[in-house]
Amino acid sequence: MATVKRTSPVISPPPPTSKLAEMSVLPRRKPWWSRLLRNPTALFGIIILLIVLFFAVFASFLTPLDPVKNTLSDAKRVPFWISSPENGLRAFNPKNPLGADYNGRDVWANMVYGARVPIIVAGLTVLFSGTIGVVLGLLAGYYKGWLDDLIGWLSNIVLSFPFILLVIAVVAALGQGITNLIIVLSMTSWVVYARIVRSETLVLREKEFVEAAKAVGLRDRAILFKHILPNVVTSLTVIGTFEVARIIVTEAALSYLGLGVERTTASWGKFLADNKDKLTVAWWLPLIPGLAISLTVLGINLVGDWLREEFDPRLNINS
Amino acid sequence: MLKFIIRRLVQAIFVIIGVSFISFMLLHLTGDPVDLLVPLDAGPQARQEIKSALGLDKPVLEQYVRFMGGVWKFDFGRSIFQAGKTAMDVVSVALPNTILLSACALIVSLLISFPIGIISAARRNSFIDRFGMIFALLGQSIPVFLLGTIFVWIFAVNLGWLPTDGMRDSRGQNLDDFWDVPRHLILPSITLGLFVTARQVRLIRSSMLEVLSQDYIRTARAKGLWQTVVIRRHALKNALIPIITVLGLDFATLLSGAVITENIFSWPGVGRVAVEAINQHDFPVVQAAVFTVALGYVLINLVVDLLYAYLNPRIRFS
Repeated sequence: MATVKRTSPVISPPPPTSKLAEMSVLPRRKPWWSRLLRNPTALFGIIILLIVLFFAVFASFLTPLDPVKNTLSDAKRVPFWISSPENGLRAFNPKNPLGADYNGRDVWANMVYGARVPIIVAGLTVLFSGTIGVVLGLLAGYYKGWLDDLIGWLSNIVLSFPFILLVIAVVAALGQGITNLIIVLSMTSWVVYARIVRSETLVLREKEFVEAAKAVGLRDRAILFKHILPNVVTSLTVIGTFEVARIIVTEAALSYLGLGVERTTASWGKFLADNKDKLTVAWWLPLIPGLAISLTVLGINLVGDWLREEFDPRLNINS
Repeated sequence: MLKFIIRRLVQAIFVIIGVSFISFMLLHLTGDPVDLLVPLDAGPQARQEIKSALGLDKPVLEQYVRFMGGVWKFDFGRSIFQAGKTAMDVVSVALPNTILLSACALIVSLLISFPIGIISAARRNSFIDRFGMIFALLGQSIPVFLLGTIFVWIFAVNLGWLPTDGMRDSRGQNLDDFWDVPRHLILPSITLGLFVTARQVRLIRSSMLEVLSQDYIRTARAKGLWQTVVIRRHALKNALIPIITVLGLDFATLLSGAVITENIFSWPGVGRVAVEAINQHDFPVVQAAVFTVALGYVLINLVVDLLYAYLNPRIRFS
């Protein structure tokens, strides 16, 4: 993996006016965008995510077709690169650039509309579970005592369930749909934030600036949210990024098992699952959505790695 | 040490109580559990009969006490879908299969991640290191159900080397064949194993790198010891401590992954039983499956923590 070059190879001469710069031993760090431009893997990740975002926002401009409507006259159309279809597949039609599945649903339309589900589900889940986790983590780390024990107990219980089995069971009881999916995923994903925030709060609460804030007479709420929280935001950003990747895979897996979004919503995972037994005759039907999921997750992981390097130079030793 | 063990045991008991409460609440999430338990075409009288037979007309707290009374004996009531069997019968038949699959997957993942992780750390920025990191990144990004589908396509459908699904030959011809089950086990355990391999490679590499930068490693090298001796005797032993904790967590990840893998390959394990039971609205079986797997996870974590305490002299002698 390529790591960011943190120091410039040539030490630029300090401007003569600045006394501080003259004393400084370290070469100055370049601005973040300059480091980003030198990091091809991170750039690749960001480009993938921008494309996914573009698909999600402009889906209705990118295709005139309805992704979940069965148009049987278009069923089994092959994609543009296949000139002579076999196995009873139909010839290419420019209306379906990537072909259509056995129910006549357009592959391209499913790919662009399908980008909406991961963004909505993962975005809202990370927002909700992050908020729950941050509040509980702050409380546990700041007040310690029985509150810490209680929150620790709750997180141990949540961690004890095989995550996907618990989600499946709750979705089965509550019913399918995006709203239920977001509720269930939020209720089960807050632990990772709570743990990190708690451990950082335990350290921060002993720091002088917290002591000073207390001495000035600030209320606990102000200390927690104005003085401690800003100091844990960087770790939260990095965890949040990797959580987005994990939630996207989980949503796709649930849709694969038939327990994700409703039939009327386009989803990569569902399209893959619906077409998984067509692999032998039309490999592109399951593999195109599979590729979409994998690339999106890869993009997020690359961006997450980059953020981790940006925010915490110490981690560079190990990654 | 004794104090640590007792505290950890008490903690585990409290977690199991919480787990049992959530397993119980699963049935009450919808408001009226009877909806989940009776066939759709049941009349109001049949509903009432089922309600009182299962004690669902009593207060929720009383129902929980009753449920807990059953949990101690692993009694979750009768399976609704499979006549004549208790929910636990259904789950206990499938449990060994899940353990077999997860154990094989863990072995597969360790066989891959240990060599790659150690070599990557020892020869940092080498070809193997870069290959290992790309492998880890791709492994983290490809969902397990896609990987499984691709494996079936290549090795079962195209090459015809391995069976596509199940645990035994469905035609029942190979009942005496010892290799029948192992043959069916290969694809699912590789699929499931790769699911955790990526994270293990990263972890083993960073844990080794941290140890390798310590002073005592420099001392060992300064003494003129061979690189292999330094890695094996000095570095690996110390790097293992954090790795063991994560192996416990990985086992939980494996159990989660097993739910999906079992459904891809129709492997007759708890995950498949649970998803089938959910589709059939067989809630006692769902509760039994969720509780059993969660209990297993709590016990594994307990063992891992105790092992960690034993291996780490700072805790052992405190």
